[in-house]
Order: sequence, then structure tokens, then C-alpha cells
Amino acid sequence: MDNEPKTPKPPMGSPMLLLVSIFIVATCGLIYELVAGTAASYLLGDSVTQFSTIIGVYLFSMGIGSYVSKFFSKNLLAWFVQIEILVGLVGGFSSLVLFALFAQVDYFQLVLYVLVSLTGILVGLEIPLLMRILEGRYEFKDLVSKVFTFDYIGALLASIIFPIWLVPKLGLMRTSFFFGMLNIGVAYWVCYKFKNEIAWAKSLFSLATMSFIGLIIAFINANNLVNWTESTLFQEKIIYTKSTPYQRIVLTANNNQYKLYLNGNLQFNSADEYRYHEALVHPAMQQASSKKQVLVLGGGDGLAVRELLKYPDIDSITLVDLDQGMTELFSHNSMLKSLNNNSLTNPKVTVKNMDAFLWLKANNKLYDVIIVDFPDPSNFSVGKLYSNVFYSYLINALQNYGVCVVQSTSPYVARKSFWCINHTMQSVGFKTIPYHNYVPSFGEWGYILALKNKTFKAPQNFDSSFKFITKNVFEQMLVFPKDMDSVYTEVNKLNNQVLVHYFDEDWKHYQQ
Amino acid sequence: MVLLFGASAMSNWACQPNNKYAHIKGKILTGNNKRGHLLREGKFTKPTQTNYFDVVIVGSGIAALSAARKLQQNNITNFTILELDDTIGGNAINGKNEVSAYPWAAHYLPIPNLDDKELLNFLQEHQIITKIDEKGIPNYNEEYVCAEPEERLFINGYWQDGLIPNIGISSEEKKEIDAFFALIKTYKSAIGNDGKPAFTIPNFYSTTDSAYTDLDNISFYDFLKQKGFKTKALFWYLNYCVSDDYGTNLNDASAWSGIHYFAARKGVSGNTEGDTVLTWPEGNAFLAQKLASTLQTHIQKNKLVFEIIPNQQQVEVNYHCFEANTTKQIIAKKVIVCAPQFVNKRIVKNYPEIKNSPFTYSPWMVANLTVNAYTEGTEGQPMSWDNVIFGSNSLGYVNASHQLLQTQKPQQVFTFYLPLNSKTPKEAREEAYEKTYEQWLDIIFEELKQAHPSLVNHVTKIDIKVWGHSMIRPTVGLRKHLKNPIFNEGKNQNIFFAHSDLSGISIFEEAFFQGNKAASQVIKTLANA
Ligand SMILES: Cc1cc2nc3c(=O)[nH]c(=O)nc-3n(C[C@H](O)[C@H](O)[C@H](O)COP(=O)(O)OP(=O)(O)OC[C@H]3O[C@@H](n4cnc5c(N)ncnc54)[C@H](O)[C@@H]3O)c2cc1C
Repeated sequence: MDNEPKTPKPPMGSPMLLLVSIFIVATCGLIYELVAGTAASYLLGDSVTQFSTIIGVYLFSMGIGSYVSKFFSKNLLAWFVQIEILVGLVGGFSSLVLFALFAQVDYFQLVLYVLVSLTGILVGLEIPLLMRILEGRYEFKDLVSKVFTFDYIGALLASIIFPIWLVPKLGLMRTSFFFGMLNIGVAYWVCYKFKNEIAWAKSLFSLATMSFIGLIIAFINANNLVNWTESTLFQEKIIYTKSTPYQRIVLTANNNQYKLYLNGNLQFNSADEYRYHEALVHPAMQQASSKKQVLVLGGGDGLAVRELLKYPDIDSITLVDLDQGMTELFSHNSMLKSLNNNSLTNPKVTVKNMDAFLWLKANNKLYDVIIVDFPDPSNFSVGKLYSNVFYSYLINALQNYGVCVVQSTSPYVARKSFWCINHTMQSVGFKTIPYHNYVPSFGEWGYILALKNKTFKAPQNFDSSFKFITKNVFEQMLVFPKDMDSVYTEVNKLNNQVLVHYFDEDWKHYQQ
Repeated sequence: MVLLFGASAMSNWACQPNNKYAHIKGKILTGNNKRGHLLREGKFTKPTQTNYFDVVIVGSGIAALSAARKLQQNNITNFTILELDDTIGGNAINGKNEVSAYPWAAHYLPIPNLDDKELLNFLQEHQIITKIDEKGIPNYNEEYVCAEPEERLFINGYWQDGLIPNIGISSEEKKEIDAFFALIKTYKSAIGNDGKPAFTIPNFYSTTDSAYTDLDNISFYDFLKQKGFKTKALFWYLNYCVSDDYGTNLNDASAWSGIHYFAARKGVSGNTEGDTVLTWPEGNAFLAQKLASTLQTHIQKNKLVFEIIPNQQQVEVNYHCFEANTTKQIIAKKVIVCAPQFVNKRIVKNYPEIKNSPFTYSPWMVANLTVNAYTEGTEGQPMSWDNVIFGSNSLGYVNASHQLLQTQKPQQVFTFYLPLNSKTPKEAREEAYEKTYEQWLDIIFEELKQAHPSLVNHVTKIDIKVWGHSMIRPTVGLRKHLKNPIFNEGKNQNIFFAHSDLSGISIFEEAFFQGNKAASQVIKTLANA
């Protein structure tokens, strides 16, 4: 403290302005905490845990900040301005960083808490530094009372406007950009007021200007994303979107449920996907005489692979999915990895990002079991993957006595489509065993188990760890009520694509 | 007939002063139009070397390759094929880039008629027909059958399914269109007074009954008028059809050829519709390569035959070798001339009959467009194999990537076809050779604009090929000249002719037939000798 100016400090001018800036600093600080807590519960679910750990870490980091403040001895004003700028940048960009990195990094939690701590430390520095700057300009007891009064009022205001107005009107992203700008506004004001006392006022000025422009640009551009996430297309909060060359991937979260949409079509809901994936995988695995070599076509979410890995006798699983964007997301994102149990990075699993049709045509290896999990045949491109030509390559890729299963859309909504897939598979020589189950998010869902030169034996021993399927349940799945039972259809061929036409009609009919 | 890839010294890179196309790469492939023109100048040196073969085949188009296949199947192996281009296939050549293979001209083969046994055999040899059932009905390899959706027409702002105008067409007009097809139906099943079908393919086997052959003496346009048709949409559609198959317009095409287009195809298939087509990304180059699969050691490329001189016992064939820049000679027992007659009239000596035949050929412009990440904003049927725009002069485009098995195609190649048939072939040809790359691009985008206003932004590359003389035009009165014995029994038992122009109609089946017919004559006369 020896270098502190000995001359009496000039008064601050209007104390009102000073109090306003304390108020702003306080509001901003709490807003960043709320943004982090909200983003974490959007992204990771379980809001109670997220909020309480984030508040804890944040307050603790503020403590660190307060402690560290004593090591600042010279140029307090300049430091304060710099810290304001930093808070504005870190806090302002925090929600963008969280949303952007959620899908990209392996250890999202780590990123989250590092960011929360950093913001906390910086915010923790603000008030102690400010008080020391004001020290000697006001009477101490006045100072303490004023600063803390406005600090707490700011906190109250933040906690009220955040849920009522900021999140619904501005959205998380723009809220944090906006408050980042306020922090920088304070930096400006201090810079301006004390331009004679601050060593490098000019350069701090331009730093603040640049940061302000950065935030404004982000604010304007965030607009698009915010508009999009608040669109009525999805009821849920969108936590991740990505347009790959092949599709638009959208991940949403709501009440601890994650839903994945590909081009707007629901792929799974984390709450009940086990019903679908157990039904898809286990009947085929129970039929298989050998389970060593398994092929999965589609299914880039790794959930079918998760089920497969429950069989220790599998030597290798090859997963062919067109979209690298999908398989990367499900190999690296921590939340999604916990859904698929890290299945895609398992050493038994090889991921090939190729077109399944081309891959299968070029393939000359034989597999014991093949799981086919493609999107529904809603257009001519996907319709090919349900054609007799595709199935003839499929049967050729199976070992003699091999088994395969095909997800086959809803036999209730798209009855003709379901039976068309069945008849098409039969036309290339498969013995087929159609079955169905109920998946709340999808409704009645259908699958076709298909055997190569093999007779069907009712499976006996589904593992007791399965959450849905048992011997009795599977027996019921083989029974088709009258309104879903077999109907005549043509065989789906590349040159008639009848399935796409059936699918269209089935859905139109259902929606009327 | 092109040098396909850019290395060619003859290709003139387009200079692009107009930056609206700055993002589009590509050029006009001039190729061997210039090679052919050497024949006119006729400045060839004396042959320096003579070789001997039983048979020489001039050209390597479909007719030539079909003839060679037939010879080989009959154990005649001492033959050679001389082709002026650096690729085989003639009008059935293709190009290829990182996105897709694509045709430069011929791109499909309709399901053939059941009595075209030789063609069915060939298709079965190469698993294009997978089996023929007890009743003689072929099953086709479904990867080669045109995939759904097959055809669409952009009309009144909407892509309709199929090419016969329908959307926004009044009921009267529809009635007239129906009446036209009812008339066609009678021709399709008609039998002449000699018991032969009125219309069939190969058309060599159709009736000589004048009730039908007289239709060759009036234009298709006059025929339609005489029958009382007047609907514009019908005339547009029929003009599209004769442009598609013949490169001519309604006024030049004979009524016989116009009706033939609809009435001669009677294909039957066990596993597909009978009226569908076989097609590949590379078009009929796929078939040319199959025909040539056992001919590699016989084919000599870059050889321009400039003189064929029939002597008493043998034939002298003189040819220029582009690579070595030398002239050589072959003395052959028999020659099958598979070049078109506009070439033959210059190279085959002592055949004034060819000069006097009224063969004319239609010029074409074909462009291959590489298109990136294009999604259409238009309504109706999605992107199809054949995409035609109502009212346009062009034939629209064929999506060359359509048959690729992959499900997602962020990039595609479109083959755009423009018959140059609004002027006389000679005028149109001269005009076409003068056009710059930019001018062609203007024409292409103008033609596609109404259906694809923003396409230009998504095109990364356009290569262009101008075909000066490509298809024989089935003009009024042509057919009686096809009967000329020199093209049939042969005037000299050592020279036979095989080219689709001798059928008066330029399609794969006719080229294949001509090749087989000439080869059979060679086989017979060699055996007699
Ligand atoms: C734009 C266009 C589209 C077409 N689309 C179709 C289609 O979809 N389906 C269909 O069936 N048909 C189509 N055709 C018709 C096509 O022409 C025929 O199907 C067939 O390929 C013709 O074969 P060809 O053997 O009779 O003649 P060409 O292909 O003309 O073969 C003649 C060959 O002789 C060579 N040659 C010529 N002169 C000499 C010489 N002096 N010395 C050495 N070699 C020589 C040429 O280079 C050429 O290779 C199309 C034609 C065009 C132009």
C-alpha cells in the first residue's frame, strides 16, 4: 500500500451514480450465476442438483476472489476496469460457450465448473476492490452500508426479473450478452470518471470498446438462434442443434428427458428408448446360434450397440452410419455417452461413416447378426434402404443360419408400410417373424425378425437385467390384433418405391 | 466423339469475362470434330506399312462393337477395330467426375421387345437380364431399371408425375390427348398384309404394306393436322418426343417415324413394368463397355480410316494414326464399315450410291452440370430421373446420379440435352460451333430458369459438348433409300455397312441390329469363300 497516492482523494461526484454502478455490478453477478444454473439444468437435467452445486461453487469462487483481492495493491482503478471488462466478457459469453461446447467436448461438467469458478472469482473481486477504491472518499460506515444495501437490492432485482422477464423474453443467450454489456458500461464509466488517475486510460478505453462491440455483434446474431430455439416446432428446450451435410440433428431436454430429432422426426426419447432398443436387439440375439460378428446399419446413437454389448460372446460390432456428425456426437458428448454407456468407444466397436447401401454392396464379410435401424421410409432416398435389392445384399451378408432384424415403423399407424417391409424381406428368401411392442413416445412399434435358412424357436432366456422384455412379453409381441394384422402389399422395389407411397397414404389417413 | 478430359490441347478453356458465372468451372469439349474434318482436306501421306486381317471393323460405336461380338461368338478372331476417337462407344460415351459418371449422349435402353432375341441374349450374357422364365419372359436386374421417381414435367408452376401434360390442361385438351393415344393403340397392334407387324424394332422386320409405309411420305405435323388434332399441349408433347428420339421437329420427322416412336415398343418384363427403361449413371456407355468386355486386344484407338478401296478379292483400308502421325494400310478379306454415311461417302471408293442418299443428321448440345447442395423450392413430384420443362426447347435434364444406390446425394450431375432442331441442320451446326461457353451457359440457365430459378448458384461445373452430326434424321421419304441393296445384301461381297443411320432411326437396338446383320453376312461369305 506504500505507493497509494498520499494526496486526499477527490470526491466521486454524484454518489447516486456510484450506487447505480454497484447495483449494476451486483445484478450482473447474480445473473451469471442464474444463467449457469439454468443452462446446466437445461443441458444436464436434474435442476435441483445443478442449481445447488452451481450456487455452491459460485459462492465459494467469490470467496476466493475476495481473498485474492488483497494481492492487488497498485493501480486499483485500472485493475477494476480490467476486471469489469473481463467479467463482462466471461459472463457475457458464458451461455454461448456452454451451449456451443455441450456437444463438442468430452468433459462438459469440467467446462461448466471451470467457467462458473472463473466468473465467481472475478465477481468476488469486484466489491472488495470497489470498496477499497472508495475508501477515504466516503466515511467507512456509510460506505459499507451503502455498498451492501445496493448489492443485495441488485441481487433481489436479478432473481426476480430473471425468470419472469429475461428468460422468457430475451432468452438465456441474449440475457448474458446483455448483462455483459452492462458490466462493460460500468468499466466505461469508471474509466471516464477517473481518466486522470488511471495510468493507461486510453488503452483501457479501446479495450472496453472492442469488448462492447463483440458483445453487441453476438447479441444481434444470437437472435437467430434464440428465435429458432423458441420456435413452436419443439415443445422442449433445444440444447443442441447441428446441420450436417445429411440431416439436421436436434437434441432437446425437458424434465430429465432427452429427445433426439433427425430432420424433425423423433429418433428416441431417453425416458422410454429402452423399450424400443431392447425389443429391437434382444429377440434377434436370442435367435442367433452364433453371436460373434455383429453388424449394425444405421443406429448412430449407439443405443442398439449398448444393448448388444450386454452379450459377452460378441467379438466385434461394426456400425455403419452415414453421418459422422451423429456418431461423433454420441461418442464424445458426456451426457449422451452416459445414455449409450459409452458404447461407441468400446474397443469391440468399429464405426464406419458410409452410406449403408454402398457399404453393404461392397462388403464381402459374413455376419452372424445384423441389426437394421434406419429412419422411416418417408422419402425416396430412405425408401431404397427398404427395397428388395437392399435386402438381397443383406441376406448375402449373413452367415448361413444368420439372423437379422429391421425396425419397420408402426404397424398401427402405417399398417400397409409395415407389411410391405415384411413381404419385401420374404421376397428375397428370408423367413420373417414380425412383432411389435408399445413405446410411449412412438406408439405401437413394429420390427421384423428375419432368418436365413433357419427355423424360429421361441426364445427362452431373456436376461433378468432387461428393463422391458421377458419371455412372456415377447410371446405377446408376436400376436397382432385385428387392426394391425397382415394386409396384401406389393414388394418394394427401387423402380416402384411402393413403400414410400404406402407410408404417405398411411400417415395421411392417420392424421385425418 | 470427344477427348473427354481436360488435358486435351484442343479444349478451349472458357475465358470468363462475365462474373455471374465466375464460380462455374468447365469448358466446351471440342474433341475430334476436328479429327473428322481432316477427311475433307484429304491430305494424307502414302501408307508406310501394310498388315493383313480377315476382317476390319471401322468405328467402335454400338454397331461396330455388336458386329465384333458376333464375329467372336462365331470363332472369327482375326479382326481389328479402328476407331478415330481416343475412347470407344461413339454416341455412347461417358464422362466421370468425383460425384458421378454421366453420359455424353445415349443414356437409356427401353425394355426390348420379346422377339429381339439377339438383344435379349446379349443382356443375359451380362446379367442385365437375370433370368428368362419358362414362358420366355425376362426378369431384369433391378439396379439397372430406372428407379422411381422416373419422369416429371414442370407445368403451370408445378412438377407433375409423368411427361404427358396434365396439370392445368382443360378437359377438351385431355380428350384430344386421349384420342391420340387411342389411335396409337391401333397402330401398336396393327399387322400388315404380309403378316408382319406395322411397327416393330428392329424396324427391318416391320411390314412392307403400303398402308403403313406410305406414312413415311408425309410429315408428322401434316399427319396430325389431317387427323384433326389441334391441342397445343399435345403438339408440344409430340414435338418433345421426336426431338428426344430423333433430334428433329414435327415438320421434318415423317409421320411413320412419329408413330413408330410410340407404336414399336412392346417390351415385356417379369419383374418390372414393360414400358420402363434400363439406365446407368454413365448411360449407354455401360452397354458399350459390356459389348467391348472381350474385345480389348482387338481395339485400336486414335485411328482415322480415310480410304476404303474394294479390289477383286480383298479390300484395302488406309488409315491415319494420330499418336505416331503416320499412315498405315490393312489388306482385309472383309470390311464392316460402322461409320455414319456422311463419313462413308468420303472414304468408301466406288460407292456413288452413298453420296446420292438423302441422309441428314441432327446437331445437339449436351451439357453436364455438377450441382452442389441444391434443394428445390418447387412443388410436386421430387427430383426424378428425367426432368422436363413444359414449353421449353430443351429436353430438360436427366439426373445422371439418379441410379446411384447411395441414399443421400449432396452433390449430383445433371445431363442437359438441347436438340438444335429449329433451323436446318447445316445452319444450326454452324451457329453451334460459333457459340462461346458463356453463350451456352446463358442458354442453359434460360431454359431451366422457370423451374429452377436459383440453380445457377449451386452449379460448380459445366462441361459442354456440341455434336455436329449425331443422329440420323428420319425425314419424310428417307425410308425408301434404306432399301438400297448396297446397305443390305451388299453390292460387293467384301464390304458391308452397319450403322444406326441405315435403320433410319438412331437408337441402341437399331445399331445393335445393324452390327449383327453385317457380321452375319461376313460370317456367311467367309464360310463360302
Ligand atoms: C444426344 C444423343 C442422345 C442419345 N440418346 C440415346 C438414348 O438415350 N438411347 C439410345 O438408344 N440412343 C440414343 N442416342 C442414339 C445413339 O446414336 C445410338 O444409340 C447409338 O449409340 C449409335 O451407334 P452407332 O454405332 O450406330 O453409331 P456411332 O455411335 O455414331 O458410332 C460410329 C463410330 O465410328 C467412329 N468413326 C467415324 N468415322 C470414322 C473413321 N473415319 N475412322 C474411324 N472411326 C470412325 C466414330 O468415332 C464412332 O465411334 C442418342 C444420340 C445422341 C446424339
